[in-house]
Amino acid sequence: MFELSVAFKYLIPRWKQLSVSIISLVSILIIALVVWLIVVFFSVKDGLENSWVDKIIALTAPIRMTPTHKYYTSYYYLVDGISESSNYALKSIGEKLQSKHGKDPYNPEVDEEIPKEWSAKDSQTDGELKDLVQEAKKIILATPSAKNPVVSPFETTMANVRLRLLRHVDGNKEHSQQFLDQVAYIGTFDSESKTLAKALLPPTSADYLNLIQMQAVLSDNLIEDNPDGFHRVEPNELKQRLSDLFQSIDIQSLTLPPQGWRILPSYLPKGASLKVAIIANRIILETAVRDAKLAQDLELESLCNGVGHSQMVKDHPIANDSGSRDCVKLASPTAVSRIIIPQNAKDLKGVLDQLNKNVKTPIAIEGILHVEENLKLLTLENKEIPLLPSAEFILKSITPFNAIIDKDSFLHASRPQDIAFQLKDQIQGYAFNATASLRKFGIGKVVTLNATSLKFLAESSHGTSLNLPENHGFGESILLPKGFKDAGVLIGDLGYIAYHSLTPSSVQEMRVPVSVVGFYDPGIMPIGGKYILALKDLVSMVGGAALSEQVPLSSGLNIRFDNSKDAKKIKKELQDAFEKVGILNYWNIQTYQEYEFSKDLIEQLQSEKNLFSVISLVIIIVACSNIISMLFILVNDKKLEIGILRSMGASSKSIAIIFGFCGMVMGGIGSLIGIFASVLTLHYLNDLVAFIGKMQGHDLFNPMFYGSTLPSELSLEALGFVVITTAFISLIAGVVPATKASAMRPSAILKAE
Amino acid sequence: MTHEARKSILECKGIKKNFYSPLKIEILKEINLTIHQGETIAIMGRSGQGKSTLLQLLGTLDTSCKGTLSIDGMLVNFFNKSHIRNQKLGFIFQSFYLLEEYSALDNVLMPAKIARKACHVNSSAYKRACDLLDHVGLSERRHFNTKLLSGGEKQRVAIARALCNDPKIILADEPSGNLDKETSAQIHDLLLNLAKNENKTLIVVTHDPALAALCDKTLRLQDGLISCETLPEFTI
Repeated sequence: MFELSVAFKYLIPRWKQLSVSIISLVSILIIALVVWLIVVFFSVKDGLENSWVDKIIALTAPIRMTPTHKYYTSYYYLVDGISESSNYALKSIGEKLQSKHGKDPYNPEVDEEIPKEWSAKDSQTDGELKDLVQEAKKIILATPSAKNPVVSPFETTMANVRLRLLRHVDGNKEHSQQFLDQVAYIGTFDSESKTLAKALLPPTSADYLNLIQMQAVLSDNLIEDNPDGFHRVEPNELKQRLSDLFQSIDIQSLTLPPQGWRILPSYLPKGASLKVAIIANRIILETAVRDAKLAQDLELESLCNGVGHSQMVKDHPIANDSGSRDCVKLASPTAVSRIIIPQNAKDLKGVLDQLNKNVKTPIAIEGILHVEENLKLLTLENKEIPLLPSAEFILKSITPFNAIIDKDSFLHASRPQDIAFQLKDQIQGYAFNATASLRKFGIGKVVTLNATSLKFLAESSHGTSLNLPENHGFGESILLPKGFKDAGVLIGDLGYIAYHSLTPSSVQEMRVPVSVVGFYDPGIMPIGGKYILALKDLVSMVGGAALSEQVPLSSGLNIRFDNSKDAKKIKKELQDAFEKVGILNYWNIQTYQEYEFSKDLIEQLQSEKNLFSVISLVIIIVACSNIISMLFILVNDKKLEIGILRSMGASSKSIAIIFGFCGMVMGGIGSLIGIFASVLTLHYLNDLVAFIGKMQGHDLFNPMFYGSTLPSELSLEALGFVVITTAFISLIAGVVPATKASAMRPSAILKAE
Repeated sequence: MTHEARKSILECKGIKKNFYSPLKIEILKEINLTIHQGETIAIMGRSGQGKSTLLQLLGTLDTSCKGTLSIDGMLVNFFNKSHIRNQKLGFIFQSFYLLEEYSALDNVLMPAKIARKACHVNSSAYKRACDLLDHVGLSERRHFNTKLLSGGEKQRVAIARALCNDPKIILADEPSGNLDKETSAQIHDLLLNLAKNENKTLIVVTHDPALAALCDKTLRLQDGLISCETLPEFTI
């Protein structure tokens, strides 16, 4: 193909064709920019969409089957109500799923007559009763397109949740008690849901602290309407509870309080030379000096300068016109009362800056503390400063200290904050050992020792399946949506779920104690903020008891499979298979796109996608149109060569190919550069977003809507779209100049000399 | 010389060409021409009489307003033009018209490439190109970029290029117009010798009587008609 070799010759930039080179460079860059923008935008958008859809599926399933009215009026459903072998109780779908296949529980010998108005028994060819649930399950598991299909029953019901938020149980402050009431949906927790495991929020240190503190609280008065205060558990019970708790979790580090930790001089590492910030008691303003002129009179400025200046303690009463007295008391500036030790020497500057912030003259200076037989404090100029006996040593650190829990301390612990820790860390490179308790310290790093034996936390084991603890003695476990966490609920909080039970004479309110074991992120699902997950038994209890005569609010089967994108196709297969065995009428099959609560959202996402596709198409057209002008210039430049090639017998088609190819190669190079840039950008996306957020002073994307990290996976769909449209449009852009080139008459060109 | 005994290679009947802008000019009124295999023909005439136009019409580069042209038995039409140009015709221009950025050899090979012949080092097309360059005395400068060649050398490359696909007819438009006298004479000899040795038909437009004298026949173009057809001995 000589056309290609000629085209490549044209594409190589040359000094002689500077204008063409510059224009082609610019158009390539513009295409690259557009491709970069579109690929990054669509990748992030696709990622967000997928995570939103994932979260919708996490709470439900890609496909959901709910029984139709026909199911509830069928012999199959109703017969349990009159059969002795079923205890005269209707069975939920979950129970049907567990029962033995194909057994008709009705026994004409013992059971009452079948009411005439019932619809006819739907039997198989062999006369046995068709098992609508089991049959459906069998078909689902055999669906060819579904990868690893799983069937699990679900129920959703409504109840009132009341949580007691006990705070400051341990602290020096008065404890506080709040109640959080919320009518909420309660859904079945499904440990099979992999996406739910991903949506689980990791517990924070406040959660852990609350969890530990709640071990000391007796919840026996919890379901009273207004429990006054709280009861503490017996010391023996507390010991047991604490050792139970710390069998499943381990605290590995502690954080210092933000104002620092006051330590005894004996804790200081022996023989160390520590860089410290020194605060001298130079001036104590007992009352504010209101009058700036007065301050000048007193030459406060000069008093404040330097640590070494000796000033007598004196009162300086000044009477002013209003009769009130402004009094300045000056203390000895040479005696040092407070020394702040940063854990890392390099943090010293930050500590000093913080202390001297908003102060006209510095109150803290840098110094070195020699920990010898006698403590020796030096300024940087090697001037020794005497220490007051009452001097405070304050340790500051932003990183947590490594700690080991002292299990023997449970024996003496009357309260959870008495749990002792051995701190083993370093201060400015010198080994540091101390004991500490939870009284002052925050909880740093916590590890889970054994995920399956967890009693108090919902935890995902290996990030795939989720574990909701059962029977831990604090009530039923519930998993709350993120909104509750934002409202101040912490893991370990206790409360109850109230529901109404109909008895022949009255409506009774029933209360089931619950404990919060974790939080999950429901994404942007409309009802997500009110969707509490609990174990199946609790849900059936609440749902079943509340409406014994009616069907539960919503129940059915969740069908999960790995390839949730194929939901529509699988639904079709299921419908066909159900039709074949004649049970389609009993089931209403919906994919996640059709759920009442998510339909609008998913349609909106789809129309947004279409809109953005059109917009990006327009942008690509604009970018590629630059190629047209560049090629026109190129054609003009190469007029003579076109004539020469034509005279040698190159067909007009060949000439068109040469220039069309030039256009395509430029489009191709542009999109290649763009794709490369977008891959890089996506790789560093979160750093980039953090940087921009820093520059503008607030987060670029609100984590409430977008999650804590933006999705940064390259969207192949977007890539395909961009590559194909760019190639196609640059080809079209090449066609116009190429046609012009091929239509040039060689005679006109060659004669023009 | 019995022309009738030889095969006719180019035939044009009633060719007419008008230019319309800025004024309507009948540049060629009616040209009837039959040229035979192996003939060397010079077309002479005053400037602006349409010599080059006639040559381009004969070389299918331009289209006539009326009349037919057949080359080597093929009636020229829109669709076979390129093929005829590539296979049957070789052009030599006054300003050489070599492809820049290419070496001499690449220039010579280009018609073979356009004909989709294999052009690797061992191919026959490559060999022929080298032979042709040897023949025109440029074997040393094969890989020189055409920019580095002198005018005479450029025209030699152009001659070699015109012969690349072994065409039946060579069309030359003032091949020595841009060259000095001595070089012109060399080019003339080369051109005529090649035409005779390879039995090519040569049609050359020229102002140079020396070149015309070397040709078998001279056509004089005047007022859009071929006014006389003279044998060389009468033209001087």
